[in-house]
Amino acid sequence: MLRVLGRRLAATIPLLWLVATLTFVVVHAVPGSVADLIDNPRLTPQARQEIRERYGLDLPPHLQYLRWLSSLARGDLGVSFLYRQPVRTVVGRALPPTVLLAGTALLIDLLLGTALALLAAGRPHSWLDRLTTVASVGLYGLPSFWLAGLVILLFSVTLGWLPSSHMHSVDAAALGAGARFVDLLRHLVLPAGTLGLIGAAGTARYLRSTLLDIRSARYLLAAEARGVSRRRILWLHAMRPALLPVITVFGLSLPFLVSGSLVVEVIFSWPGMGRVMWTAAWARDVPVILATTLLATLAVIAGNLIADLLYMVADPRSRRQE
Amino acid sequence: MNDGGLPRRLRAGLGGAAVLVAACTLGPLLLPALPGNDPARSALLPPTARATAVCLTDGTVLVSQKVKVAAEFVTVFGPGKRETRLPHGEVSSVSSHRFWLGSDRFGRDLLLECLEGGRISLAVASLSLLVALVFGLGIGLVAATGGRVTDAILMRLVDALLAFPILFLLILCVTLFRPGPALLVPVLGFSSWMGLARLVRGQVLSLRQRPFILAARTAGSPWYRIWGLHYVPNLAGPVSQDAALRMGDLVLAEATLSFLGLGIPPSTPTWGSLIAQGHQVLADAWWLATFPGLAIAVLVISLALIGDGLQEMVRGKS
Repeated sequence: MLRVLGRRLAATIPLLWLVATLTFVVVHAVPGSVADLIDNPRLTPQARQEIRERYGLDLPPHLQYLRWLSSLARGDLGVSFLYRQPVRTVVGRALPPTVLLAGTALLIDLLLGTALALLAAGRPHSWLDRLTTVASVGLYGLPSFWLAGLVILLFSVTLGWLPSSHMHSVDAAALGAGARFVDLLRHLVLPAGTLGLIGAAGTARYLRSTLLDIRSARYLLAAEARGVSRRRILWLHAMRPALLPVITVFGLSLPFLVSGSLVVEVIFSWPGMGRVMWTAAWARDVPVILATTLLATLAVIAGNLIADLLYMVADPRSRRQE
Repeated sequence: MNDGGLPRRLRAGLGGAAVLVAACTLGPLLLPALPGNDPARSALLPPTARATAVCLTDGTVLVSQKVKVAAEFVTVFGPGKRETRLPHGEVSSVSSHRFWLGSDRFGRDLLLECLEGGRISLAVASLSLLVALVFGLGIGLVAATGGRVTDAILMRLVDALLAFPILFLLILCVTLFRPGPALLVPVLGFSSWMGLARLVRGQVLSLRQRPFILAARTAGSPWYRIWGLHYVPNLAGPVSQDAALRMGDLVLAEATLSFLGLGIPPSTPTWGSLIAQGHQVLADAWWLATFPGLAIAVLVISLALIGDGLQEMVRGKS
């Protein structure tokens, strides 16, 4: 297993380089991407020249590229054009809210998804199964931004129970620690619920079909013949192989812990990575664009790797193949 | 479950998709066009409201639930006690109109908007799917048949693109170029071929080892015969299943981008931009965002059912 880990980690570096180069080319190939910011008519020519020199924009593209790569290799992500702060600070500020939101959503996704799938697969073709199947297929088809709007309409506008945007209330700083925490939770419910619900629909659909596939396996029939109870078979014997797709879902969702869900963060004004990316793309904040893209890529690679390793822990068959 | 014929899910999915596609392509032709274009004097009408459309000689259409036609004047009562008196000379026609799904801020019929928007959403998604199919099939086939070095290079490229945050790439491209269908189709298509390429490559590589293809090759069948008779029919199932699910993803992606204001410009209705419009008046007009969203959901669910049904068929065959 360690050998696999080493080989995969070694393969990560060229992959990262490829993505970094790709992003650099996309950002720099477009005409006027950075020049628009600098060629501000209100700036004096000297000021413009100074900015160019400070950010290394007067260099030819290939030198800019090399300079960027070498500073990247040293862990230096550069300075944001927009915030006038190191990119590291900008990202560091946006990461905790995203981890909180995406983590809560992932928790809802896995718990609710597994529960629904177990309910449905326990008695296939019963009305409960039909209901959960219809609900999960229905939820799967809904655009997240649409569900977000509906949820805001219902819980914020009509009922007025929950706040519809941002992470804290305006007066949150004046509240005590406990009240602040409750305030944060109230802000978290709608975005995390929206993301988690849509995720849970996919997980439930996926898990139910694997559970039903496994149900007809011979070793389960053998267990039934030995007199093991139905519930025990479902929970212990069928669950382990059926959890493999949950691992896949988990691996696919891990990147969102870092990169955030752009649409939901934008709609709920959640101050996370998705919003940072969004603002950076509009403001052509090149250092932030490059850094967040790389970070998101790294997260995808890490998610795949973790899922594969978990697979090897959970499924003896995949160990033999390696 | 049912003997002979298509799986039930496939039939349900095909039915749903067919109804939606037919409505979107034919609906705008059959429904009476009612382009209200005077935002100041039109109201947001709820679903099933009956309202009167007053067409003026200069082409303007005023839509209101209260219109009084008197001997000298046609009076249109707008929202907030505003009334407009028009001499008969300025009015070309007065007609009653039922707004089954309500109207938007400009007095436009939401049903008509949804159908026209659907036509554009569907067109963009299917063209993008075509681009993705061309890239996916092409690169998958080249990787599977082109030798080890080509295969390795192409598959690493696929890995890199799969790890790349795609929505972000879309936003980057769209903010840097001018948004519109001409940009959306290639960008969406180019961002969704990687899974297909992997699928095609894997299928071809595993088919190549199967006895019936080895037998055909030993028997001296020419390559076009082997491809036409053995590879293509065996690829068709998985590829069309993948295409059905991908089409759903593309519809969602187009809607997401249009919602964010990065897709089709808002002057042209699409499902995504209609939802975005509805989002702005969410508290006053729930119907504006709801119906286009339902249309997307019906389409995506239909496509998912088609995918499930096709999978059932492929699995049943093998």
